[in-house]
This record gives sequence, C-alpha cells and structure tokens, in this order.
Amino acid sequence: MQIVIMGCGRVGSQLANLLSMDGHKVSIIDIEPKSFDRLGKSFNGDKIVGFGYDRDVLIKAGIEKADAFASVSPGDNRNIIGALVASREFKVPIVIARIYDPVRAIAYNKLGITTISPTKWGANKIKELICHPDINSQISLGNGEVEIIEVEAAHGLSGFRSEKINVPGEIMVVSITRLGRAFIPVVGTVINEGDLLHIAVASTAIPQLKRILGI
Amino acid sequence: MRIIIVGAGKVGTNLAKDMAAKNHKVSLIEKNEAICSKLEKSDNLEIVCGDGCDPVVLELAGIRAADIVAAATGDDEDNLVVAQLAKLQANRPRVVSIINNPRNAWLFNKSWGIDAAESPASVVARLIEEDINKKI
Repeated sequence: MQIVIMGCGRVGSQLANLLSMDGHKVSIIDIEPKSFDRLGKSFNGDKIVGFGYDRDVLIKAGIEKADAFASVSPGDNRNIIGALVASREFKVPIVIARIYDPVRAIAYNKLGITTISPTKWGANKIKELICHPDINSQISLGNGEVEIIEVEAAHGLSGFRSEKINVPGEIMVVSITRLGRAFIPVVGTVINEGDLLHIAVASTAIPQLKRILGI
Repeated sequence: MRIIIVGAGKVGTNLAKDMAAKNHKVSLIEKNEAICSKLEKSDNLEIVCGDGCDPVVLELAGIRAADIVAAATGDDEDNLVVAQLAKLQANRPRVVSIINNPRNAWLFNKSWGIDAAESPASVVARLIEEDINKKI
C-alpha cells in the first residue's frame, strides 16, 4: 500500500517504521526537518518537509495515489483538517486521525473520519490494569469500551455450558481453544478444564464476568 | 439575528461590537482567558471564554439557535473546524470565515460548509490592483 503520514513525532515515526518494515511505500510529512531524525537510518520512505495539509505538500507526498492517510501531528484541529482534506479533496479510501480530546473525537466521527483517542484508550487501559490486574486483555476495541480477554478454564468451570457465561449486550464467549485447536462455541458446547476461552466483554461488565468465572 | 463569533482578535472583536451596536444578539468566543477578561460585555454582546473548536463550548454559546457563525481566529485549521462543527447542527447556520493564509483559500468553500470567506491579504491586494488599473 502507499501510505501518507502527517506528523513525525513519536507515534508518526514509529508508525512509519512499522509500515515501511512491512514493505509498504510510506511518505511522512513534518514541518520540522529535525523530527525526521526519529525515523532512524533503516527507514527508506520519503520525508517531506512542509505544512501538513498544504495542497502542494500533500501532492509531493503522493496523496493522489495513496491508499491510506494518517494524521498524527500534535494538534487535534490540524489532524482533523488533514484527514478531511485527504478524504474529501483527494478521495483517499482509508483515513485515520489521532484526536487527544475524546469529546471532539466523537463529534469528528460524525464527519465520517475514523478517529483514535489515545487519551481515552490509555485511561481505560490503566484503569483496567489497576482495578482488574488478573484479567488478561488480548484486544481492546474502539476506545477500550469492549475487550477481548483470554482466560483458562479452571476446575470450577468444567462441565459448564459456554452460553451460561454469556450476558446479552455485555459478555460473550467468542472462541474456545482446546488442545491447540480453536473453535466457535454453539449453544450446548461444554467447557473442559484447561480450555482457553476468549471472551468479549464490555469494560463496564468486567466485575460481573469475574463473579461468573469465580476469579 | 443571533450571531456567534469565534476568536476575539482584531477582526472578531470589532465585528462583535459592530454587530451588537446594530442590535444583533452576539456571542463572542475566545479561548485566551487574559483576552476574555479585558472584553466588555453588553446587553447584546455575550463573552464566552472557551475553545470555539470544542463542541461543548459552541453549545454553551448557543450554536443551536444561531443564524450566523463567523470563524475569525488567527488559525485557518481552527476556522475550518468551527465551520465543520457548525454544519453538523440541525439548524445549519450560515458560516462565514476569514482566511489567514491565502494558500489555504482552496478549502474555504461550500463543500467545506463555508458560505463566504475572505482573506485580508487578498482584499488589500485587490484594492491595490484596482488602483493600478484606474491609473492605467
């Protein structure tokens, strides 16, 4: 894929390196040439000095042929305008904006831009580590509202039917891994001791899930 | 008319006073507290201290009932954000804006929710050109 990144800070440079290592064609824009030092020597993409949503700068970065655009500059407003320019003016199919302010992130979602709010995600994650250190979250969805957690079925769960764990809208067993093979449970699937369960849980329902699992 | 003005720089402040004097109901939003404290409110002029790019602040300033929103900050990205948020409102107020850097003028149009925009530099440039043309 051809990807344009606006902002070469900590997130921008890391994102550029990760994508570049995977073989994608990356161009990264920053107003400050020194910020490209963060990329390291192995980065083989294009570095473009300029203002993030300036038309000429974006064209130089190859936005007209880009498959994806991510704005990760320090400014929320700059990121949202950069993302809107990429999507509206250059019709880039995948556009993502990092927005620190979670309230604004919701408003901007209405403008049709995928927003990531690391503030909310980070706060949710830290809260979870403090309040539920025994829950092993594998994937955090959205801004941490839903988690996929991994838990090994203890002796107490043996013989339990998997749907007994489910609570509509809050908890759902999505996969069971038994003897190294994963499958999706159906109504009536019985849990064995030692099964590895993957459970989707609303972050607000974690205490309830712990009660059900007896942990 | 109910008018919301975002940004109490020279343009925003003078516009707010002018519109209030003409009996419009004006809310002037400014994020710098030091500037806010120096602004004088009146019957027709309300001062809202906060970030006009924040949907909550726009709501406090009464955007739901606004007829016109004027984006007059010194940052083009802020003005563009104000316009996007204004057009999300059900009442769809008319949006006017100043353009600080003429390089950004290509974005200040109807598809970006802006009904009218002008850059001070371009206005003066036009006046000079008209002058030159008269002399020729």
